[in-house]
Amino acid sequence: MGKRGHGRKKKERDRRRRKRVESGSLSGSRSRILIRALGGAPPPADLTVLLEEAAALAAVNRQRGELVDALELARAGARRTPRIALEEALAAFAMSDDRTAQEAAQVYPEVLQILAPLLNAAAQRKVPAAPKGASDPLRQLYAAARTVEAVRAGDGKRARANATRAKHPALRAAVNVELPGGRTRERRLAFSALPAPTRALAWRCLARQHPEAVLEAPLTDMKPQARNALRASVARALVDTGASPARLTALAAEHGPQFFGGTASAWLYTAFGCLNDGPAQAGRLFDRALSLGADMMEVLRGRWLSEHGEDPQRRAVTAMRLAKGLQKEQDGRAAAMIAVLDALKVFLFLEDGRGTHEARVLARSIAAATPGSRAVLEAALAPLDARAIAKDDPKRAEALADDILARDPKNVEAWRARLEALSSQDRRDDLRQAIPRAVQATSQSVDQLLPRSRWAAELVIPGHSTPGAIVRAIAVRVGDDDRAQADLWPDICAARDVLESRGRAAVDAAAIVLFHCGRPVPAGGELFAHLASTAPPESLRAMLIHGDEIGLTDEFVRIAIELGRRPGKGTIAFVATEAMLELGHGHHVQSLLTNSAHTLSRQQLATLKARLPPPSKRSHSVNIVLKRIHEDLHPEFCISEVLDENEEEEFGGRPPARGFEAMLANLADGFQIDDSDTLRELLELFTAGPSPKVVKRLEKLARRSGTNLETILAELASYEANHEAW
Amino acid sequence: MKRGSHRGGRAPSITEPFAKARALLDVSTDADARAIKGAYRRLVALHPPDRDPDTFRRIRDAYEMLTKPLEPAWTILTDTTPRVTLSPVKAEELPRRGELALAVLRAYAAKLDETTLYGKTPS
Repeated sequence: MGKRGHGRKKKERDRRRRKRVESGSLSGSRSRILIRALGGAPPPADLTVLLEEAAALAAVNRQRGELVDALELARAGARRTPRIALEEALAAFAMSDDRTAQEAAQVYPEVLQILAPLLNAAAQRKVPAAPKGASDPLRQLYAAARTVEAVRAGDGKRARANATRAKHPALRAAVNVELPGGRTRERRLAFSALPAPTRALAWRCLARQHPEAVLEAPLTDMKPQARNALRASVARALVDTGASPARLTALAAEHGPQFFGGTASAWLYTAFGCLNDGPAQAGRLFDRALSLGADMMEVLRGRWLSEHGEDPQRRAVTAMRLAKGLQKEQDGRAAAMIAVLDALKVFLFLEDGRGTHEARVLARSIAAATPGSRAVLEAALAPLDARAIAKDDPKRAEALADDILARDPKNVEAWRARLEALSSQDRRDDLRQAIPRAVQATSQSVDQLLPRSRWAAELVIPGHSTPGAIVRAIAVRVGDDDRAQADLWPDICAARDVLESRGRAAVDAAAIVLFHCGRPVPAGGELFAHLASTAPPESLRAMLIHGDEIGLTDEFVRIAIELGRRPGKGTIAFVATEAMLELGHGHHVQSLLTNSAHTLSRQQLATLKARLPPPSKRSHSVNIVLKRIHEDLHPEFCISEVLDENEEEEFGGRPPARGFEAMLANLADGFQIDDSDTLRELLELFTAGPSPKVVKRLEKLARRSGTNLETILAELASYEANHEAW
Repeated sequence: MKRGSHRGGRAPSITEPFAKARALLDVSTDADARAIKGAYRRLVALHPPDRDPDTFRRIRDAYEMLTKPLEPAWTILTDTTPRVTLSPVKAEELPRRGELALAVLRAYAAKLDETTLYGKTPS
């Protein structure tokens, strides 16, 4: 030990000594004197006083926790009186020296009466009942010993009853830690009730009995080494007690493979726990597990699972490897068939002829090598076989599919084969009839049944097509000048009409954008007029907000005014006014109110009045609407892509949903500055919306930047015009 | 790593349930559907459902597993937990039950006030 260690020890000794001096006991010196006097040769003739003094001092030392001193002093008394023998026995018992305690106790019956329950509990013997006429403290001592006996027997009820009788909170705490059934709160409190020297042991007991409780504890006051040892104990307890694989997997993912010792299986469990983190992350973990000698089939299975929803080609390749591995074992062939069928489905989806052929050959060989369930496996393969030949031999594929559907009308793959066969024969009318039946029989969407067919992208089945599928159908037709759109309209309108209101709103808004983008079809305004008369308020609102993004506000407002004048259509004017208020077009609000106020109810007028003047949150509102539409159309259709693709050309350099940013960019050009702070300030000002305060600040900023004030004021003029119109 | 042994709460390996079913019906790996059905009938005659429902259920499950194996195979293959044993963790031996209570009892003995113990009949 270095100088610093010595210094610390000395300091500690001095502190203790000072404490003793302050308490007036001076027990250290007294002990030494007493030991010398009792052990002297010959001993003094009358030892009574000395022995009394020694026993009293030993008791003080024992109760202070200075057990070595207490035992030394009590031993010097050579068990000459019951009291000094009791002190020796108690000190020895507290130090786990049960043999000495036994020897000291059995000299006097009255001492043995006290030590018997303690020694019996320690030696795992039955604890006797407390003697008749025993004092309350002695009864409590017996109850405490019986608590230990009950805990060891795993009898929680008896243990808790005895701990209550013993009136010793630490024992009750020990019971809660050691036995099941204790409440979490009780266990948490238990640690504060336990004597300090027993706490480390308590944590290890908790690790055995309630490992989850240890994992939940912060353990911040524990040294890193102790914490690691405890975590290892928890892991061991979990494995030894047979925690569920799901729990072990979750723990491995949460704490890493080192939690379970960093073995191959620990890495495998971690990898399985991270399946949702994507194939790249899981793949690294599986590679590590494999390098440590993990089971190859489990690694492949895990990789296959992690690749679901990711790169389909890679998933199919992994499935093939898994199938090839599994088919070598007779009892693994059913699982091999599952894997190869999965690969086959992916290859069919990808239209990978080579992969499809390889998978079919493997599937056939697996089925042939499984005599017990050959028919079942071949039946599972048959519809995929039909799909595989749907392009090259559609008539045969159709016949095969019909055959399967006659036996199993809900067979999804057989329906797919049939639809694909019809699609590849260009039998559009048959397809239109077959799709609703297929959707009804399989409960799959059109997209799921015909994922890569251009027919599916155009066909709209009322009641079955999703909002995204409807919009996609419009998009396909809008982009194709060769086809007449008239034949599509009835289906689109019927499909739209049966959608719930939110889906209808999304379709309407997206349809306007698509018609606008898909020039030369100048149908934006007409379509709005067509849809607005039947659209629900939220749909109408979405259309107006979206129309604003594509520069059709004037036209839409004109139509809204026209429609709003008609009897019973006051809601159109109301919704349009609300939308214009939200968009911050004061002059449109004014013209709408001027032309349609007479059609509005008192309540509607009051509502509009209450909203004047509104805070301008244009950019914010448009983004919210776009986000909602995007969610409604996802995954079949991505409106953001359309907007991003078209914004430059179609919107005249005024990107939709980014009005403020666009304006800011124009202003920034006018400023001819590259000062990011100034830009940031500008952005803040514009997003705050127009107000006299903002105008003043902008003017100040312009002066400071020494830029062309005219440019800014021109922009501001439009803001102010709107603002004042309100 | 060796597969096939049960330990703790581990799920059985991919092939294990099928091997067990085969062992229960006592059919070889190359047994065809007819042989499996014959074995099943023999066993059902020995363990009819009215007299031995538990065994009958196990026989029935094993028969279905061998004759309609795709569904259980799918369940096994798509299980998101590893179907291998987690190796034992090297750690200090965990304390036995009662050790903490005894430690508390020893601490209790250290704090005992011996003057109160003798009660009504002091020695």
